[in-house]
Amino acid sequence: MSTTESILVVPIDFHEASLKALEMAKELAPVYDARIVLLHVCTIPVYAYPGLAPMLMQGLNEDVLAAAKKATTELAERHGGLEVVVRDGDAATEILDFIKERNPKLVVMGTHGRRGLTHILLGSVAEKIVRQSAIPVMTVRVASSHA
Amino acid sequence: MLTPKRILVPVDFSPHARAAVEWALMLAQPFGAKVEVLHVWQTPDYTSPDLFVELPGEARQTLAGYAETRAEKALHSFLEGLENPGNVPLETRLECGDATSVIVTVATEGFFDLIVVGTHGRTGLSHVVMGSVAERVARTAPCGVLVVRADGKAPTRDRARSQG
Repeated sequence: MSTTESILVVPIDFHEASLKALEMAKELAPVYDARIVLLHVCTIPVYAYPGLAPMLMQGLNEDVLAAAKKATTELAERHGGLEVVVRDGDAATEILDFIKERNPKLVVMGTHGRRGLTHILLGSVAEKIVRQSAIPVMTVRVASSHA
Repeated sequence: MLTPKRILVPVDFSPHARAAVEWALMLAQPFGAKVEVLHVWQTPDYTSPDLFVELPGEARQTLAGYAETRAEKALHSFLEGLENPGNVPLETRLECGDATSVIVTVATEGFFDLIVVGTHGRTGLSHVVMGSVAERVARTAPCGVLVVRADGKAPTRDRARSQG
């Protein structure tokens, strides 16, 4: 594995779990002598149905991306000026691509600690990353049963 | 507390499990955490666990007892020669049952705040069919889970520096 830089990546969706993951990454960064990269993926809906050409609302793409960049940058600044990467696409795919490109030491990601059938839906991104990432993945829970 | 104080490492004696123990020790040191290495063994369920086993040079014992003795020995030799430069408090534990549910139960009842688990990184059909204990643990654990991959050697601070 060719490592050129030492980073931890924290996928951010602005929910509580991902913010807790960021706090955890800040604790871990000195242990790994690594800096943190905030990765935000926004999924801009494309409406495609049979009989309808894929449709994207004019201007929406740029507006949403700009807002996403702004929000992520503000968060990064509140945490001491972290590197920010914002991408548009499917969350799991983009996170896995980022891992391939930058080869971080670790992914630290939040996951919603709900039990029962719903966890399959809620944790789907984290689950895909755990399953397919070539590098170690740490999940951070909220609503832990003994927090 | 956000940083882990009690780290559980389920092991199946594979190289991935060894990597998991190394990661756990590396994480435990700066946070003053304790590490517990857990091996979950299973009684062969295609035969009666009450069957007696007689081997030359060994005392007569039940199949379950024999399996447990074997598991205990394997756990000890697995940990032999393990480097623990930070002198992290390390305990071992043996349990019997289905790996995923035992791991989750131990983590819950023992108030562990992190599970470090190795995975084979197998992909393709066998993966789809079988999944892995690591994934099932990550899905159902009450706490955070660090899933360590196949060749996942713990990056020590020195190693991190030389790469950076």
